[in-house]
Amino acid sequence: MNLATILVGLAVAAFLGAAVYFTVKDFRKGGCSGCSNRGKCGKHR
Amino acid sequence: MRKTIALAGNPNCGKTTLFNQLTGSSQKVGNWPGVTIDRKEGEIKKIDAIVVDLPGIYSLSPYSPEEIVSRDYLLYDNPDLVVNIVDATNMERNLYLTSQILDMGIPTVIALNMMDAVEKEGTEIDIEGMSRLLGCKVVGISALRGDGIDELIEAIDSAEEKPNPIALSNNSEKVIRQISEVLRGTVPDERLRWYAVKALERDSLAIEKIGDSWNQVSEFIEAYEKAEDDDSDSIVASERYEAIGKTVSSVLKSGRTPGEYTISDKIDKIVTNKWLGLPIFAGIMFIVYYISITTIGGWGTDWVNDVFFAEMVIPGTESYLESINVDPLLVAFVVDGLLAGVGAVLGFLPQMAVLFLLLVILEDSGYMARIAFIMDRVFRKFGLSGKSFIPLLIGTGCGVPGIMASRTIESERDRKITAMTTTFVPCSAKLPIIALIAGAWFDKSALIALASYFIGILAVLISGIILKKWPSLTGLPSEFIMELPPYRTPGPVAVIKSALSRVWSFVRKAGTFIMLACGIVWFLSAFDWSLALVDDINDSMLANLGNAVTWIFIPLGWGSEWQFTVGTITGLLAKENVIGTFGVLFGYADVAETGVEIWSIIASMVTPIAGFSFLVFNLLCAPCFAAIGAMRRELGTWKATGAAVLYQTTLAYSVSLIIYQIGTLLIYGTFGIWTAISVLVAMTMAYVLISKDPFGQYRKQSAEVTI
Repeated sequence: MNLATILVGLAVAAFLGAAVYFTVKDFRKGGCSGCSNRGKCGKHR
Repeated sequence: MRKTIALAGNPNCGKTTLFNQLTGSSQKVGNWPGVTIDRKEGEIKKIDAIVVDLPGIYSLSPYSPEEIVSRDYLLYDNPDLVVNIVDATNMERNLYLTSQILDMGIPTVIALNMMDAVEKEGTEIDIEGMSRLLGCKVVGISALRGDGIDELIEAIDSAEEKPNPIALSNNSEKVIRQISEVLRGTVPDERLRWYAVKALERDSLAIEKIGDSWNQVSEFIEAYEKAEDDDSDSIVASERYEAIGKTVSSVLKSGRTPGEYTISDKIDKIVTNKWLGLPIFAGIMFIVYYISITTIGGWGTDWVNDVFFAEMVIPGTESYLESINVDPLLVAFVVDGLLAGVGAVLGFLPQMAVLFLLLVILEDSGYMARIAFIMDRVFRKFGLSGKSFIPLLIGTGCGVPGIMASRTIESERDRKITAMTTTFVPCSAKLPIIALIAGAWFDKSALIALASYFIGILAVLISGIILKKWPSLTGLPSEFIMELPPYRTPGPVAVIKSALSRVWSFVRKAGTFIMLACGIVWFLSAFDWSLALVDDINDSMLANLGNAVTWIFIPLGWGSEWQFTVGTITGLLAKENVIGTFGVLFGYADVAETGVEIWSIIASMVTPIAGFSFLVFNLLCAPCFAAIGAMRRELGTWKATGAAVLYQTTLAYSVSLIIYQIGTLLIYGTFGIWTAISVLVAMTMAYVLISKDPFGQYRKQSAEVTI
C-alpha cells in the first residue's frame, strides 16, 4: 500500500465520516436528511 | 421579574413570522401536554421576557385541541401579557378572537400586522382611535418586513393596564353582570367577565365553576333568550360581530368601494370555478413539468450527465487517482461507487432546480392555496375533505412534514387516513425516479410526471373510499374552512432564496446519506460472500440477495432483473437511492469509456410498460424510513404503522400488477395466468370500492344486535 493510497483512503474515510455525522444529525432533528420543508407543518403560521 | 407573554392570533396572521422576529434563534420547541401540538417558546432578550407561541385559532371556544390548549394556557398559566396579532387586512374576522381575549382581563397589546399590505390598498387605520376604544396599546407592524417591531417591544415592556372589553348590547351586559355576581368568589375577579360570558354561552367549563348556583343562572339566561327570541350563544356571537363591525368602521378608512371585487377575487372567479378549476390546475402542472423535465431542466440534466460528469468529473478523477498510483480497488470504490451513485442523483439537479423554482413561484403567488379549495369538492365525494389535501401539498416537498401536517385535522379518522396516504403523492425525492423513467422510455415526456402526480392523488381518493369502510376508520369527512390569501407577485429574491434552499437540501442529501448508501451498494456488488472481488456482478453478494427476493416482482414485469428489486429496496432508505443504486449497478461511471448511457441500458432490460409499472410501484409502496417514523408518531403504535405500510405496499403491488398485465395484454396481446390474476385483483378492488359493507362490519353489528 503506497502513500497516495493511504492519503486518499484517509480523505475518503474522513468524507464518509462527515457524511455519517450529518446524516445522523439530520435524522435526530426529526426529518430525513436535507428536508427543505421542515417546520412548515401548518401548525404555527 | 421576567415577564411571560402569550402570543395569540388567527392562523395565517403572521404569528410565526412575528415570533421569529421577536425571539430570533433563542427558540425551543416542545409539545403541549396530552396533545400532539407543538409548543414554541423563545426569549425577547432586550426586555427579559419569555414568549409562548399559542396555536393559531379563530376563537377560544372549546371545540378543537388547539382552542382548548390556548384557552387553558390563558386561564391557568397566568401569562403577564397577551400579544394579540391581528391581520390588518382582515380585521373583522380577526377581532372576534380579540374580543374574547379582552374579556379575560389580561393586559393586552394588539400587534396590527401586514400594515404594508394595508397601505398598498390605500386604506388608513386610526391606530390611536383603536387603542382608545379597546383600552390597550395597538401597534402597527409588518412582521415580514420587520417594521414596527421595536415599537411593539416597547409597548410590551410598558403595558400593565387591563383592557376594555368590547361591550355587547345593554340587555346582554345586564345578564353578564347578574351572572358575574353569582360567580364572585369562585373565580379570580379579573376573570369574572370571561366566565360570565362563557356561562351565557352555556360553556361546560363555566357551568362547572358555577356549580349549584347554575339553576339560578339558568333562569337569567332563559329570560334573556325569551326576550331576545334566540339562543344565548347565537345572540352573543352576533352581538360581538356587530360591536366589532362598529369598531372597525370607526377606525378604518377604506381605499376600496364596498362590494368592489379585488383583482384576487376576479382571478378566483375563474381559477376556482366548479368546471374550470381542475383542468386549469392540470394545465398549469403540465406546463411546470414540461419546462422542468422536458425542456429547460431536461437540457441542463443532459449537460450535467453527458458533459460535466461523463467527460469532466469522473474521467478527471479516475485519471488523477491512477496517475498518483492509488490502489485500483480504492479507485474503483471512489469512481464506480461514490461518484457513480452521487453523480447519477446529482445529474437530475437541473430538472429539480427548475421544478423547485416554478413550484415556489406557484406557492408564493397564492395559487397553491386555491388547489386545496378546488380539491375539497373532489375529495368530499371520496369521503375526505380539502383539509386532507394540505398535507399532500406539503408532502410534495417531503413526506415527513406532510405526514406531520395531518395533525391540523380535527377528525381522528381523517387524520389517520391522511397520515397513511400522504406519501402517495410524489415527494421531491421521488422526482428523479419519475425523470429516470420519463427519460429512459418516454423521451422525457412531461405527461409521465403529470400522470405520476395524478396517480398519487387517485391513490389517495381510492384509499379514502376503501379505508373509510374499515371498522375503526368510518365516519363523516371533517368540515373545511380555509382562508384564501390574496394573490401577490412573488418577490424574485424570496423565490430564488427559497428555491436555492431546496436545491441545497437536495445536494446535501446526495452528498451525505445517498453517498453512504451508494458506498454500501458498491461494496455488496463488487464482492462475493468470501469477500473476493467478482468479475461478473451477477456473482456478487448483492446479486444473491436481490435474486432471493426478486421473484416476488416478476408478475409486475421487472422482477426478472434483480437490479430493479435492489433499487426498490434501497429506496426504503431514501427514494433517491433508487437512482444512486442504478448509477452504481449499471456503470454510470463507465459512460466516458463505453459511450453507452445507463438510461439506454436500463431501457433495454424491460419493456416500457414494465418501466411504468416500476415507477408506479415505487411511487405508491412503503415510503422511506424517515416517513415511516413520522407515520409512527402520528398513528401512535407500531402495529398501526405496520398495518399502514402493509396497506401501501399491497396497493402498490396491486396497481402495478394491473398496469403491467393489462398493459401487456393490450399492447402485445400476451395473456397468461398473471393476466387473469390481475383481472381478479381489479375486480376485488372494484368490489371493495363499490360495496357498502365489504368488510362485513355492519353485518356483524346487526348480528350482535339480533343475538
